Amino acid sequence: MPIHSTTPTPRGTFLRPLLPEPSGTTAFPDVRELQSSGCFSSLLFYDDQCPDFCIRLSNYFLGADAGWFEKSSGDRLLVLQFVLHDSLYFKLDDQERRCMSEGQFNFIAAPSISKINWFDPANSHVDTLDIHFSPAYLKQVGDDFPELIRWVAKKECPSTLSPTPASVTPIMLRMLHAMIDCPYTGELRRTYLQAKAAVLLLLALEQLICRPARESTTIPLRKYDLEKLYEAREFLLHNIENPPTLKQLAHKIGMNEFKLKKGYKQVFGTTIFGDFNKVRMEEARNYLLGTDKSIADISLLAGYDDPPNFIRAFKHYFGLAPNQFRKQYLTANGNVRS
Amino acid sequence: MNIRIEAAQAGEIELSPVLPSSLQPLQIPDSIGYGAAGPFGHVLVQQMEGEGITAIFHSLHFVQGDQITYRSEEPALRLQIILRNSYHYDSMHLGRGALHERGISFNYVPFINSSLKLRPGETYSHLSVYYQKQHLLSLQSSIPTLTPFLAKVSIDQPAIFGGSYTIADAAILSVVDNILGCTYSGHVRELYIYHLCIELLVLSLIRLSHDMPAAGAISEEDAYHIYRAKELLLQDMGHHLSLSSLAEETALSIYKLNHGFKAIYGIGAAEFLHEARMKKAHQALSETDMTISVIGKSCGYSHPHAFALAFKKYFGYTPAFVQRACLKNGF
Repeated sequence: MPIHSTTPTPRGTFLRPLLPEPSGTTAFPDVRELQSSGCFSSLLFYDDQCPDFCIRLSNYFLGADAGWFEKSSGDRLLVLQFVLHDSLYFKLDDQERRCMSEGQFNFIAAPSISKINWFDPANSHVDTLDIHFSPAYLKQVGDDFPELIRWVAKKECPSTLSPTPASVTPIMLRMLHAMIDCPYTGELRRTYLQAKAAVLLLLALEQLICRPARESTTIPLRKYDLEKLYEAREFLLHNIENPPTLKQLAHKIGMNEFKLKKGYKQVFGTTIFGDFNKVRMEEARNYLLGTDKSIADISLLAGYDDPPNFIRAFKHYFGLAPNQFRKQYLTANGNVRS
Repeated sequence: MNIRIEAAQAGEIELSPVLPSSLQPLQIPDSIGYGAAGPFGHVLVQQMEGEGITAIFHSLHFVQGDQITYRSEEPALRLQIILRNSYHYDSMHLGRGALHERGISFNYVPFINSSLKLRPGETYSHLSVYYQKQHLLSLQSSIPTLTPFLAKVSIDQPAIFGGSYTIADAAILSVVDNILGCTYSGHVRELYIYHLCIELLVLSLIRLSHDMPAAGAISEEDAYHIYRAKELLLQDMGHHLSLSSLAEETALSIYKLNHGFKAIYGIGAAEFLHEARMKKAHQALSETDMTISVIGKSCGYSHPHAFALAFKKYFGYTPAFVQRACLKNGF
């Protein structure tokens, strides 16, 4: 499948085969390696041509001034794309920018290849494995996946099979690695890859079509994790004057920071800082209204080393500076202390 | 596939398409099962179709032990993988021989007539995959030794590809697991089975055509001691069963134990145990909601970090990845 690539540089990109293409039709073209270089440093494609599909492993090694890279071709695009390393940002025609991160995949269709890959940030290394299928081949599996056929039949505009990319399962990851590391050549390679790609397609379709819709932002929490989170909250509320850092807290209860942050929000509905701040502010208010301690003392009691920081935070939380807050309360109660 | 099984003592075994209730739990979903159960033990034959390829899973259990004879009029171009116990066969075409657990053999017979010696109370199982000649034709260019084999097939002569059998590696065993554990139905199932069987064929032919160390000779008695040792190892996976205590329990010397494992599985006892632990851990991660450290402990790792490292080295991904993927899929 011929693919033209362009980049923002005036020179454009040229792909040149590293290996001479095998001549004649009898020899099965093993792997065609294409290499290209431009403002994005270098690109390496490995091609495996099979009758029903073409497998392409792309390695993008990007330089400092990498921006975007456009692929285009007159052929119809039906590609199952797996991101193997780092994140890939891409645009299909004029649609909004999408992202697939490491370990995710989706099925992409377009009337012609006109896909723009973006590289964020520069100096990254993105690997993808693409399997381009022929429409005829997809028809074979169509009886069992009517959604697929309906989707393939929509030819006008580029789209993805599933609105959000799915994640590879362990069995799929093993298959991807086996395909990439395939040591065979010739007919053996073709037969092997054909079998692998076919199974991978079935597994991928199952994930993309049949998987239950599930919010990706929630993380699974076990009973043990919940106990830890309650313990974290307890600890936090008892140590307002000497607040632990997130790292210390995570260490203290024995849970990693990511899980602590996410889990905390999921369980208690607020962030750790939000919770902590609320307690500090309530406490500061009690001191303000119940005692005649100075603002500087109260800020220390509320865990702030620096009174201006405390005043700013207080104002942010209650909408009034501490001294105004106190004054207003006292006037409202008709109890003016000198 | 029309197979008849006759036992020397129990007589002709009537395989019924309606499985006796005792065998139903063993049934592979969506497969065509034929079975017989009785005081003699049980025979269960389960057939899976995949677009011209037939995979048949056999399971045999004779309480008193017996000598059984398999017969079929149809020619068989088949890959045989022994999954449990040693098969001591006497085939009309291929002669006498023994295939041990994990042994694979690719052969052709114009019709099936072979007898098996079964020990009392033992369970035997194997997978036979029946291919068509057309599946092999295109592979000749890559595997030259296939040509003389196919020449024999076309004049209807019995033949064993590669001359003998070899031992299945982890890749082959994982394909077998996928075939037996296929959860699809209908046409997708056929496609899935077909492609997995083709992959199995490629992997097996390569393994058989290379000069892999042929399965070492091991006596029937020694093989059974090794199977006992294996059972002990698998039961006790969480503990650190030493080779010497294992040798003591099975009445084998450490030398014999290690060489026995090598002869049957192609790997030493320690490596065998490691493989089993990793597989067990993988299964526990995807099917239960135990934590990683508990699973690590049950597989003999006292520290979750060491477990995660070993796991990643073996599978190429971390235990957490398996857990996440399975939670996402709604387990």
